[in-house]
Amino acid sequence: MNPTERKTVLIVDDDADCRRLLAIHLKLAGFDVLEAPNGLDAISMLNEKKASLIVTEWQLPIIDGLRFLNWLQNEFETPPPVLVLSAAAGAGAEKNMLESGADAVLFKPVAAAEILSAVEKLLNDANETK
Amino acid sequence: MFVEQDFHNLPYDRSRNFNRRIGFFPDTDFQYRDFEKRMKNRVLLFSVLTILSIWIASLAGLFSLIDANLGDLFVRTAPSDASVVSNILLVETDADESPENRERIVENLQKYNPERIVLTEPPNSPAESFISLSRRYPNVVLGRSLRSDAAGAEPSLSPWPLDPGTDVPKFGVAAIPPPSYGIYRTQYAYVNVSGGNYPGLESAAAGLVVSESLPDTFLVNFQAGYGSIPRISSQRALSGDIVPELVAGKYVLIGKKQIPGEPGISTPITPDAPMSRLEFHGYALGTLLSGKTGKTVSAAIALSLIAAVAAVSFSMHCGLSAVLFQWLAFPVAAAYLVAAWGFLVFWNIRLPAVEMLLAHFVASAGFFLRRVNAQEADLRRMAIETSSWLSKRVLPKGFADSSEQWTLAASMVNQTLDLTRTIFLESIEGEKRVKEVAGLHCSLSDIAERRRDFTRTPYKTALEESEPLKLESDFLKPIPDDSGERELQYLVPLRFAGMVMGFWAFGIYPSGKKNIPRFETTIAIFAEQLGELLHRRMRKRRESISRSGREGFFSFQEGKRGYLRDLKQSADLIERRLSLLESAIESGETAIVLFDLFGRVLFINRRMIDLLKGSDLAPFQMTPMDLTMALAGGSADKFRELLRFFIFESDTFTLSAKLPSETDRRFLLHMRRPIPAGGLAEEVRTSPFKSSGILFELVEVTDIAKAGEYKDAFLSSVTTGLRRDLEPIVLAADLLAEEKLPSRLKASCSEILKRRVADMISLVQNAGNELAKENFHTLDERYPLDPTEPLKKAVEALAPEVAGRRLEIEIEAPESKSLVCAGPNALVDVFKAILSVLVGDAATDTKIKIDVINTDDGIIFTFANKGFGIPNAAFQRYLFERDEVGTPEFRRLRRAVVQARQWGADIRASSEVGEGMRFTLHFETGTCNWNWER
Repeated sequence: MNPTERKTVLIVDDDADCRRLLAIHLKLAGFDVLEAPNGLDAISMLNEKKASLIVTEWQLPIIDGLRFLNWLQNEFETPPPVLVLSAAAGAGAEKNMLESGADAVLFKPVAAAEILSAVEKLLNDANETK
Repeated sequence: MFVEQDFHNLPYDRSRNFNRRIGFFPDTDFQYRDFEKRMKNRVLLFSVLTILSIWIASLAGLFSLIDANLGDLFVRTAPSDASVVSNILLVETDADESPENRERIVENLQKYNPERIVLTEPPNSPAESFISLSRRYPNVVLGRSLRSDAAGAEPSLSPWPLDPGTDVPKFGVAAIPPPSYGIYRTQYAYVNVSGGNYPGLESAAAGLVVSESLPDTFLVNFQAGYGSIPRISSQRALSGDIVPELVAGKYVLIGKKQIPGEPGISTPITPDAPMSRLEFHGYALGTLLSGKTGKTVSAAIALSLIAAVAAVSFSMHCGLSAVLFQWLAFPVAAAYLVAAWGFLVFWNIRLPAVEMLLAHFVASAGFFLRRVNAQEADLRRMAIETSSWLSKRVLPKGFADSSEQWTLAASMVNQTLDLTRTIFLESIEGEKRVKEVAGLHCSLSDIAERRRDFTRTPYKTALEESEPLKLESDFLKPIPDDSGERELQYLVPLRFAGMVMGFWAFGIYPSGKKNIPRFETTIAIFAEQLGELLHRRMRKRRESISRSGREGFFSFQEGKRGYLRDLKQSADLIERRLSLLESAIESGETAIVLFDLFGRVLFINRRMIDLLKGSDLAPFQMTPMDLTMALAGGSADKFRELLRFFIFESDTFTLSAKLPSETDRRFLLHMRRPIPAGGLAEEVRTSPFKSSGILFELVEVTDIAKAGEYKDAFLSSVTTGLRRDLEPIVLAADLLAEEKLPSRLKASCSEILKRRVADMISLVQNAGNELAKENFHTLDERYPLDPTEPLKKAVEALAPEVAGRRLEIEIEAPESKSLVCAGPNALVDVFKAILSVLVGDAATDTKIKIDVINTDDGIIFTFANKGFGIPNAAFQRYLFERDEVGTPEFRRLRRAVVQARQWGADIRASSEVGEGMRFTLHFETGTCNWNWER
């Protein structure tokens, strides 16, 4: 990764431990990290700052993943890539999430390396698209 | 409801099979066959006895008079047959006609060539000419009378007026046999006098030869009718004024005319107007000449005829119904009479008509009475067996046997109705008094009225009233420790099948009475049941007395009245049981329809009608296949094959089913062939059409399915929780593996690791506990309760979150609220689930409003917030569709929706972005399936 182009990753998760640990992993991998505990705070944060990629839980208080993605689709012409990292792994969940605007879906528990790999892939794909 | 079918019009076999099919009555098939066999044997024996008795009586001459009179009647009513006497001419002389005149008459007549001239009596004085006439004219036959010299002496022929010597003129015995019961019907063919056989006058005139084969008498044929023989007077014959055709070729009988005032001969055609002897001889001679002598049947033929008549009656008895048999008895008797008349008129044969009629009527009456008696005996036996069977099958044994059961009943009644005390009294059989059966908190000695005579007040008044009698004065002695309230006392008559079985006296406080909805009706229902129990007790006692006595199992000392009473009471019991069964099936949760094998609806209960009507399905216009297709879906071919398989191979079948109009409800459609308990299964399997039909049961399994969904959701929640806890563990473990990670962070990771492992352990333990709970029980729990308390608990439980979001919950509810049918804890969870979503969505510093409104049919809760809201389509999907996505709050809400619907409540929700969310929860009264007061 080019150090001059540090990417910012927004982590949205109501599980503080998960959010914090993932942030450490991403920082160690060279990303800037923003953290939000729910969809509402994430929206507030994105109104002020720009994120290159969003890693979000699907089940969120106040404004859940679906509504958050809907907001992203409505708010940005080209929304940042979204990696849904969710504990809700029911039947049809992945399809539903992808249809709602997620670019990739990983179900917890998943290793840090896999998350980082998915994050980098999404960012590369986003660069290529530009 | 039972589809009306007229079982009374069913042929006997079908109704018997019906009884056997439903397993209600003991098997009567063998009894019926046995009855038929016994009937036939007895009837045959009776027939033989009847035939022999009548025949022997006939031989003994018991019916001679009636037979003779009946024969006379036939003769009088027969059409006139003048041919019998067409060759006869009578010449009537005076009583003192001289022998010379007679001779001249004969000579005059000879000029006209008569066939024969018969002088029916000898002259009174000696006259040679009398004898010489015969010698001169060979066609002259002389009549000789019989005489008896002394009383009791053997008669002899009257002597010739002059000795004829060896040249005896042609003569016949001018005698008539003695009358039978005053009527002359026969004439001598020949007469045995002093050891010699002499021809009767008519035989001699007709030229008959006396032989052994000739009967001594013959029946005179009077069918020509009285006065049908032509006659002329002696004066005319003497003057020669004779029409030649009147004499030519005729048999001319000369004799005395009937002198008015003198006794003559009574005959069948002249029972009251006596006939002259001359005329009688004329009929007798005509009879012989025409060959139309009357014939009687031999004893053997009489026996055969009587037997034939009895056989006809027997055939009628076997082949015809009792009513038809009765109606045909008289026409058949008339036919026998007509036959007897015809035989006499056309063939001169006298049938034993009276014997035949007697055989017919005796046999018919005997068979009829035998049938009635046998049927009554069988009916009585069936009644007894049915009563006995009922007492074993329908009546619980213990209740009648043990007094403990009655104590329990008293206790139950007290507890249910919150009575202060109660006592059951039964009437003593054959008396007008009552005695104690059982009591609680009181006994017979507490009853102030000492006579216990139920023809007196207050019993009499209670019997006259149609509802429980509230006693104005103390019937039961006052309770010593009465705590303020004055006890109300009631006396209720206990009846069964219109008979007074006893009385029920009880006390109750006014406050207790107020708590009993529809007090009089409730008491009446209890009284009806108690009356039946007392009846069973009385009946059981009668049976045991009877068993220990000599009369056998049932006492018939009271004769027919007792038997009819038993029958009526058995019928009442059957009716009650059927009503109970019908109402049980009607009020059951299972929807039932019974088709016969040809697709007609035999029975359908209310629930099935309601379910099918709700989906615009008309069961009475549907065949079993139509119904199966409508409920379970699929092609006609598939179900045709399925039905075929069901009818010929399988007894039961279960299909998953849905109502076309309510796809969210789940059902199982059981198809089975109703086969009576205790047999016939194999018979029905080998002969499918012996089955009673096809029974469809539509069992709603929505609750079970929802409970399954609840478990699925719970397991999904646990899995999600585990995934959430595992992720920090995995991430922390990965970090701990990083060598360059600062020790501060490593420590933090370790701490997270430990904590989340502990969380996981806790989650697994909680999940285990939750799964161990009897969720089905919890789901099913429902009873009427005040919703205020659960609502308060839910609001209190959410207070920290409400405060944290600076929200306020405002409740507007009437003072008095309708009860809702729910489980109390589950209702708290439902309210909490709704409020949690509303709290989560509400904008800060807003109010969540809860409105509670009583309506005519129940109660409506409305919950609304001012919040962010979500698109309504997504909201509906989260709540009501099988979608796995959503927050824990929404999953809890979905469970709440399932729960509320299980209670029969209607839950609706709406949401609008920027406005917030709104929930309406509508509970209807009566959804607990019992009536309860508000």
